[in-house]
Amino acid sequence: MASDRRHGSAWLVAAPPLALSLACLALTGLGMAGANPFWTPSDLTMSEAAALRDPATVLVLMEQGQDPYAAYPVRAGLIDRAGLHLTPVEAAVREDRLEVAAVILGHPAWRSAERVCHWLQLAGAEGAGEISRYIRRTFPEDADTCR
Amino acid sequence: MSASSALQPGLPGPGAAAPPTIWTTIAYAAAAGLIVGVAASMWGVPLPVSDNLPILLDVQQTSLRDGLAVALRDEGRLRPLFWVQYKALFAMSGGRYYLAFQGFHVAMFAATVLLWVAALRVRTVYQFAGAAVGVTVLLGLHTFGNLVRELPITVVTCCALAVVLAFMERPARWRDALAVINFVIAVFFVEIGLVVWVVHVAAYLCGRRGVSRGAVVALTAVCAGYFALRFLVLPAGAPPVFPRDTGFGFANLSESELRSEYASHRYAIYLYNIAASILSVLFSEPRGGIFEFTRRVLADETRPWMWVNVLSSAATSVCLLWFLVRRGITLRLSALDRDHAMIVVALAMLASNAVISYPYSRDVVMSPAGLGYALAAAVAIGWLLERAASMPGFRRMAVVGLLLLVSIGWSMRTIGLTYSLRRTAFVNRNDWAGVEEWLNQSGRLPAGGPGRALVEQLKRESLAFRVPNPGLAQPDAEDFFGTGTY
Repeated sequence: MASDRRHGSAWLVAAPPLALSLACLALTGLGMAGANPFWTPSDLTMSEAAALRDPATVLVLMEQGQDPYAAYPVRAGLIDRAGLHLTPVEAAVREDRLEVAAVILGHPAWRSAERVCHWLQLAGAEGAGEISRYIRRTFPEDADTCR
Repeated sequence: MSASSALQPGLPGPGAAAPPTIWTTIAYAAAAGLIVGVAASMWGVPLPVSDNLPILLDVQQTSLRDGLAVALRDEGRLRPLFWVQYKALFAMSGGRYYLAFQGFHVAMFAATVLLWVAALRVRTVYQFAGAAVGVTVLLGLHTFGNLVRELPITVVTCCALAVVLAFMERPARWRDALAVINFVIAVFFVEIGLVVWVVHVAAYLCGRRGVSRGAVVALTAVCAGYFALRFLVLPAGAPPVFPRDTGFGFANLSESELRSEYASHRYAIYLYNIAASILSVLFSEPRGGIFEFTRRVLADETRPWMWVNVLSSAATSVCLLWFLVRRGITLRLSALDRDHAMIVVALAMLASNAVISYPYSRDVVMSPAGLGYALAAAVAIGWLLERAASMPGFRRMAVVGLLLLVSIGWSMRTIGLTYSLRRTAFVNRNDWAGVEEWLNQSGRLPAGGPGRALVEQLKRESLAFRVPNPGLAQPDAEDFFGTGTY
């Protein structure tokens, strides 16, 4: 009886790590089936990726042929309470995501003086100071041509 | 061998370890589940850019001989085997870089945790419970978390092996040889490898005879040889006065600030770094020399995980103190039993690790001490549970309740490790998106050839990782479990 009680105390203290250990095994099994709820890749539109500081996904979608100057849906709660329809450029500027601007503007297929001016204009209107400074620093000649 | 055991084959003789029990098996099984879970998360993390890519480009373009020559000519540090490990893995990868580097990292992680369990030599239900909580201390402590997120883990594996060897019941020639080889690898990998020597000497002084006296002498000779090589033969010498930025009080001091404003007080900064490193392991505050939790409490900016971190560490350190006070502190170290010796060795690891790390304070450099702290925690918790069994009802419930809270706290921190790996995967993948610009800024972007091909391959592979966005996937959970960093 006393031995059971002593073992009970030890099992009680060991219970959280044991439960965690079992959960790890279960989640790893789910992960192998692509169903780990804690490691489920997020399905994002390019505009959502731009708003969520995810330049890698923006780049992958661009490489797949998506247009960073086209509008895509942004789910409710990310930028605004309501769902929106924005271009990735607009989303990045509204959230002042410098790294996203760098990926889109740095991509050889999407860089031009006209687009630099478009970014500058948007950044100025939204008060995205970091992006404005980045563009003027990185593309000084293109930025000088903007009115 | 005693006469009785000689007459009765199968019985352990004096000095032999008690045979494994069912609790040994359950302790390994519990650790195995956690290893699988953390390893699966590690396997989803792209290689870090800033800590790895420059070295990968270097080993690609440099022969082993030339690379070793450069590593031995380094001023301020002596880490030739660090470079050799990268070179060897690169050469063996056959172009499958992620498999080679992250695969090795995961394997070393698993080996470290298994060696950690082996060092405890679990035989009873109390030791099992202590080990179960202790393994979450090992995984949940910020020093280990930073290590798992970064590469490489080799020195901590060497420390775990050293503890296992030192705490065997009696020496064997092959173990003596392995102890010396293990130390040579650790110390020529990175400076904190010196902790391996401290483990062996401290354990020997505490009456542990896993390695022989001759081996301890040999280890000391290697240690002396290391210093002679470093200070008399090679140009390595001492580290620079302030090799990098470090935390102080509530802020981070840059290298230039340290040089311009603190050069005349450098010993005070060193003492601060040593004290901060020790406190960081014992109380999870400060972190990297910065009292960030305190600052946030004063500014009313705390989140639940910060309290979990500090309180779980403080409660665990109280358990250690309880053990030391009740078991007594004695100078007759050789008379200590295995548990007591383990805690003394862990404290020696903590002190020596902090002293070796005097030039700056970083979570990751205290990872050998973190391994020792987890061993000490496991021993103290097992001992407390055993004592509690003979306590009257109310006191027993209070002790078990405290230990249960400690156990829950560290389990939450271990969950935090997987969250931090998830966030690291997100950050690393995004770092690869801008890798050319990052390399270009430091003038290291290869113009073409194999170097450029390597960058492009690694970038392509890293972008192909399917990583959850922390802004969408259970973002509120991070408030409770944290992401390893403030």
